Amino acid sequence: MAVGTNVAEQDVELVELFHQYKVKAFHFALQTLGNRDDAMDVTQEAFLRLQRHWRRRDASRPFAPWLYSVVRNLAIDVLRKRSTRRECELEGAPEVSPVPSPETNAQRKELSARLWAEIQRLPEAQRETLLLRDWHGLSYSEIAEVTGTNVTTVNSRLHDARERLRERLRRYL
Amino acid sequence: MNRTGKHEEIHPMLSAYFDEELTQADSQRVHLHVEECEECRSALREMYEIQQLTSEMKFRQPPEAIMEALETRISVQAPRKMGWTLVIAGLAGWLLYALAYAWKHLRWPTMVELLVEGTVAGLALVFISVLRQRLLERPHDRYRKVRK
Ligand SMILES: [Zn+2]
Repeated sequence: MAVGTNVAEQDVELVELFHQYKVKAFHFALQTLGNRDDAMDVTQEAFLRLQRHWRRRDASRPFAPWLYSVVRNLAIDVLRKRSTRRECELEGAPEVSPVPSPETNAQRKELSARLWAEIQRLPEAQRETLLLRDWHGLSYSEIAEVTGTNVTTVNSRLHDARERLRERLRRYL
Repeated sequence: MNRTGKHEEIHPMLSAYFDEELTQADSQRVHLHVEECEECRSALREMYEIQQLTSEMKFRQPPEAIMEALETRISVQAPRKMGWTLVIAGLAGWLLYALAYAWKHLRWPTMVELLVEGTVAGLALVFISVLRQRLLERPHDRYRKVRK
């Protein structure tokens, strides 16, 4: 009886985390892959993988970096398979481009589009780090965990990304 | 000599300062420098602008039908697993009890009765779990029909 109840409680926790993170996971995959179908496949596979490993997980580890790193690894697999035929040019792909909210004014819309184009032009590691920080709101140590690196590298990637974006966008900011 | 640190030395720390990822001592050094350096102040302002714009970006939502199906797969697993655990534990318990009872009394009909009762209880649990899954999946199926 005790075993059964325990399993149920843990899985309820996973269901709650699913609700909390499903869209974030999808968007991280989308930002990496630039394609909704691939992003959804990766999101699905990531949560099913987490479910399979749920009872053997290290419960002291926070959930978000774990989920993000699983999504990232699966996305990298997709990119590798895809690399022979580079079908989806990220830049300008309508599926990934942010959708401005209706109340945004024209000037801000234009600036946002310009910024997104520049983000797409960043080297992959910088782009990923910047999005994990400024869009997903992860801390440096969480980003280090997700991207398999250390805080110093995260720090310098962010610094470089921001320097570059500032340089490119300075006159519009 | 500038006691708050040289610009060339402080400037590379601005990004981490902005994210509040510096040690308190470093953060204090950057803070003092920024107060008297116009260039670093505008760099911080631009970082803030970039962060605001980035965080405001809205991306397309995931395909609803697939996400719902995934949710069903994830939420159904829990009671299903618990159901099976209970069924197996229950059946094993009944079996042991029945064997012990039969061993003592050697009255076979009673043992068979017990086994039947145990099995029925187990099947009932599985049935309830399957029923629950059907109920959870129903809205998704309806959605799928609408799409096609
Ligand atoms: Zn300065």
